Amino acid sequence: MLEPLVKTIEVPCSQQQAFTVFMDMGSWWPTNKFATAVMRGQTVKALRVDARQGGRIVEVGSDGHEQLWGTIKTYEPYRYVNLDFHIPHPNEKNPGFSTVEVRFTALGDGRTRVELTQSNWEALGDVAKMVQGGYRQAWVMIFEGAYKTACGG
Amino acid sequence: MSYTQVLIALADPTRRKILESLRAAPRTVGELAAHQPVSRPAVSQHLKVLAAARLVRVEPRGNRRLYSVRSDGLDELRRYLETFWSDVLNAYSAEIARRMKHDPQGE
Repeated sequence: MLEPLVKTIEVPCSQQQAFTVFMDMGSWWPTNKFATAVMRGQTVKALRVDARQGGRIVEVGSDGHEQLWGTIKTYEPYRYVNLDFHIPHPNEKNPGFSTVEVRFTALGDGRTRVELTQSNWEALGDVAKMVQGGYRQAWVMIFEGAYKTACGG
Repeated sequence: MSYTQVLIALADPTRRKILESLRAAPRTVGELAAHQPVSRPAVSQHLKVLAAARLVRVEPRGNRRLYSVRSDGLDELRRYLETFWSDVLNAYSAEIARRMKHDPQGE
């Protein structure tokens, strides 16, 4: 199984504000860099987020093409959100979705901790397996190669 | 952006099978074609795409050409996946900073 990826940041605003801005993804997502339309040589016209349980996140390309990025599985303002999430490559047929969870914790003094966890990589299929294979090969080289050599093996 | 090339290379199931069989051992085009339901010219085409994405390398071995896996091609993809959320969360922080400047109370 692939390890979940965890990223934690602190932001200088209230928990409510941190949650509200996060769900207003269209206002801050770097769509010039991370979007399916970009991989097709297009730009992104809009990022639509239906902020509620069962709501969808949809990218609208400059050519009008709509691409699903995921669905909101759990919506608990202003504490927690759980998404099925993946920005697929245009060549991917029937892309799977990883799980992205975001937790918001008030730290006092107008600061909030935002913890993001991405897991369920296996749902992305063979591409995820190849990435995992890359890790496995790297560990073989590091341990059975360099470490062993360093230990005089 | 070479990670895109890696993704395109891996998006094809036949290319993934070729790469999988090269992970077991270096092989020639003929050996690869014998294990796949595709012709030798088709295998050569797939190997070209994999080589362009830096996922395989080719070495002359006598009068044959031997193909093997390069792990640094996958490193490119791994780096992309690792920087993804850092860049996204930086953009999110910047938006909060922008809003706090306009409305320090945070509504």
